[in-house]
Amino acid sequence: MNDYSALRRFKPWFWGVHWPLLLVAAAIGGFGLLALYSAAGGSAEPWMQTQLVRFAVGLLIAFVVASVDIDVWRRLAWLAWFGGVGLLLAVEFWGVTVNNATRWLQLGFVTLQPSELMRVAMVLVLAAWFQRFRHGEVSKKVWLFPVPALLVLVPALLVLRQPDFGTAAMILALGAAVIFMSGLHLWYFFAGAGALVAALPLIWVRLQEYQQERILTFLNPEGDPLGAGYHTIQSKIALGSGGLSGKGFLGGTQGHLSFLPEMHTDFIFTLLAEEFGLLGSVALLGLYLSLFAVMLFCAWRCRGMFGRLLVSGLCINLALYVFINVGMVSGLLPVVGVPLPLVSYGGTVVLVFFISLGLVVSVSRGRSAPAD
Amino acid sequence: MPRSLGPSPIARAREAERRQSARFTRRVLLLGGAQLAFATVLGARLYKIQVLDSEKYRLLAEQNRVSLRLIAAPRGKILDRQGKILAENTTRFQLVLLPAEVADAEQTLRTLAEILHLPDETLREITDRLKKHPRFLPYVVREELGWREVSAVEVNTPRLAGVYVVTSAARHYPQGEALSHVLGYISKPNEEDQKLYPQIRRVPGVKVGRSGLEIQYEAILQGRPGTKELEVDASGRPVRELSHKPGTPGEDLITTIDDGMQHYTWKRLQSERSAAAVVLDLYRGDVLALASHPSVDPGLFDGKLTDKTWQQLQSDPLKPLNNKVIAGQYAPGSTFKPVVALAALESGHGPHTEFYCPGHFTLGDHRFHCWKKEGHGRLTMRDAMKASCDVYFYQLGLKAGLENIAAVARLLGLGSRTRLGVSGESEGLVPSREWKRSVYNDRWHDGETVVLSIGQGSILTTPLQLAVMSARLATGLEIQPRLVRARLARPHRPVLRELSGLAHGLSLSPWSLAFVRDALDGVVNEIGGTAYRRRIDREGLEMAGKTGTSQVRRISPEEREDGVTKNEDLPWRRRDHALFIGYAPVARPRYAAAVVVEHGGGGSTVAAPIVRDILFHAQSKIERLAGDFNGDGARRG
Repeated sequence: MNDYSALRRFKPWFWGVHWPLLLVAAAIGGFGLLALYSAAGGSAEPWMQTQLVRFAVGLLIAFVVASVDIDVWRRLAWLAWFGGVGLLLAVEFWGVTVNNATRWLQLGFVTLQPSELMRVAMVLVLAAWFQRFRHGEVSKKVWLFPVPALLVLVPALLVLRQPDFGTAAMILALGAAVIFMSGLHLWYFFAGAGALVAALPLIWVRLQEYQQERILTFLNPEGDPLGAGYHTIQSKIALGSGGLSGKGFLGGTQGHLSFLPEMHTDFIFTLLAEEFGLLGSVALLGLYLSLFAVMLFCAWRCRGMFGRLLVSGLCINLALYVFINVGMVSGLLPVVGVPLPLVSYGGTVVLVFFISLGLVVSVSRGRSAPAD
Repeated sequence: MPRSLGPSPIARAREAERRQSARFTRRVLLLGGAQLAFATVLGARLYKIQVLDSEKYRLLAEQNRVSLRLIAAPRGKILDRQGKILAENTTRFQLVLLPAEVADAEQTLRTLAEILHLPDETLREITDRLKKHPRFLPYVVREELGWREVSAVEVNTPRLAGVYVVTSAARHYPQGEALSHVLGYISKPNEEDQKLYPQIRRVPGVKVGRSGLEIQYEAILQGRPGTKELEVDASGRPVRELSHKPGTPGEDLITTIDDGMQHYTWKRLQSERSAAAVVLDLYRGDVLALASHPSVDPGLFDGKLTDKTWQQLQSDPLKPLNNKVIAGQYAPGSTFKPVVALAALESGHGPHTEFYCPGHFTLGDHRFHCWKKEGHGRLTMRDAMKASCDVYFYQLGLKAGLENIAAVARLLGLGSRTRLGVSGESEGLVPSREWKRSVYNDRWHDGETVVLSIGQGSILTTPLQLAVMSARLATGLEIQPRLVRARLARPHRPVLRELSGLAHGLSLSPWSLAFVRDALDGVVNEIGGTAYRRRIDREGLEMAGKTGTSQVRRISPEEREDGVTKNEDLPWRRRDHALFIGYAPVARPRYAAAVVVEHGGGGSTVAAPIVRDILFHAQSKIERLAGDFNGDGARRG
């Protein structure tokens, strides 16, 4: 009768924690907190403190999500999807309008952007829908495709009405990517891409004027330096003046002088890149890449199709955030207002990240369980 | 029958699962590859910006650190005809708070409230606004601070980190409310102003004209903003000034107003509830004084006006925001009689035309009354003018006819806007047959000509038009009033823009004019004239003029029977308007004036004394025109 029982109970719990995932996330989050500290001019207030609290709450949520069996989440997938659509409809009616766009829900002291949560729910439901197919069935049972198509298109259209073209496009891309992972034959994707190219002129006409303007200035931002091209030019100045090794922590000038109005949210990458230089920005990109690699490894090790699709889908979702955000601040993509997960100040993205984290851990814990 | 040796269902399922896993693995690799590719592209992009083009962006960043600020050009002054200041720029003390430097906003504001005695309500308002204010931009807590408050803030500096007293430009109008209708006021530009004047769009603290001369000559007064290059530190605070290009100051405006005359005229109106007066110089039509009472302090609009005060001003029955001299429209009453006389003379009815006044005149089945119930008896034109006999003019008007009366009225400047160049001027109304048809779809009745002959009915005039009429009667010239003499591009190098030379002569016979002038002389300076008791009893300064009392109500036959209610017994709003037009000196007219006292009562008792005082003041106090200000400090001899 030795007293190892406590330790024995502790050990599986301890090793059950997905350490690589957590460490990479902690490193990225650390970067984010530094950036927010610097964005406030070397002060924990007003952003870093709040963000730290959010991280703590998010970690708690991640543990709760992780400790629930993945099968339960699979059964809850549809509920999550309908919940997301419900939130999007709520935005339609009671949303907060900023700059002509209604994207946010005011819930007491929290401002929620439901379109972000919707994407997680969509990955869940798509994974749940595609897991039933055996090898090759996906490509054969094409008549069933209106179902996933609706699962993607309904939220995309609701988001487009807000109007938020960037997020709508991301939802479409995410849906397509999950379907790609489900093993649909590649020819369908070639055909789809062809159709999309053909439809581009039509989409262009439907765009809001400010969105057209943004795309046009993206092609030639110097054309309107004080207007629509301002963001792109200023963020490139901030990036470029950072150089190889940066101006040192808290040594940035461009961010602090308020040349970038959304410095602590969508343009926070420029602040890091200015203060830590190319080394810093590439290091951050590397951290994100390792996060994705860990997630994809999880997905690959998974035996059930649900887990595979869920984890890879969540990975794609986060990757879209990162690539679009960095592409945007470096002038490769139009300014669409996409945050950098765990670095940008903002509650919804933190929530999305930690829910994703929890789901990945939940999947990796139950990876040996066969799919039903 | 032996079963074929195909794979068992379980094996087939296993095979399918293996192949599915294999395909998923391939797709994971594809996805990972794609992510790597994207990351590489981004990395390459960052390398290009942060390493290859770094120099270029470093330079741009340096330029970013140099902040270009626009500075408002000093607004042009408005001067009176002698160069005395009517509107100028002064500095005042503003209380400003820089949120980025305030450690504890709540505590700071509480201290401020204590020092400045701010009510809790204001404090709450400021706290709310401050929350939404950008951290690095100064927030204006108080637009204007008195000396005592400035020193109170200075003494408490240690407790008020991030709070500053700064100077800001303000507009000062030495004449205050006396001239506010003429000068107008200025305030912060709204979006439409910014569209109209794009050059001032980003200029901090700039103000634009809102009414009067300030808005009429906005483009001249405004000037061009200058620029200032500042090096700013990481928190956006200026470290030092790199360059300073002053803008072009606005041009000064030399008006025709005579500071002293204006002040006197304004003072003179204060005894009445609501009145308008205007004085013209007959030499060039210069408006020497233009006063509308009651008025408002123009400084009130410069950031101090509350909604409540504004609503009070707008709903005030005395209409203090209205410039009654140019916007008020009144029936001219008996001041219209010279027009009728001229029309009769011009159409061949000589001065000896006689009519009998029994106290009333009947046309068809309608009876028109004279102001004198017992009648004037038999009169010639000159006596009728002196006594202002209504019955005589009823009949003279009928003889002259509507067309002639209207033509002379228009010739004398009634029924159309003058070329004063200030917005808000009313047109007035000179009726005609066409007008009657188009507005009432009815023909012109002779009874209307009768009423028109004593300046009642549909005819409407502004006090300014009456003054112009007086000036034209006095000179026989087509005098146009003007408010601005010249603009001064730069001090000491004036660009004077004198308007028009002498006016053209009117197409009226000098003989008729001479007769009417003689009659107007009689009105004031002969026993029996309606304004005899209000004459200027000084050799060489005598004035000529005409009284007018215009009814704003109808007197019913019953009331006439019982005796007409006296003005004093009526509520103010239903009393008659008192009018007087005049010019002086009689021998060689130099100044003309018109006064309307709203609901003041009789023209001879209320309006005439005001004109008398104004014209006397003009002749005895105004320096000669030769002494007018020309911007170079010297007077032209």
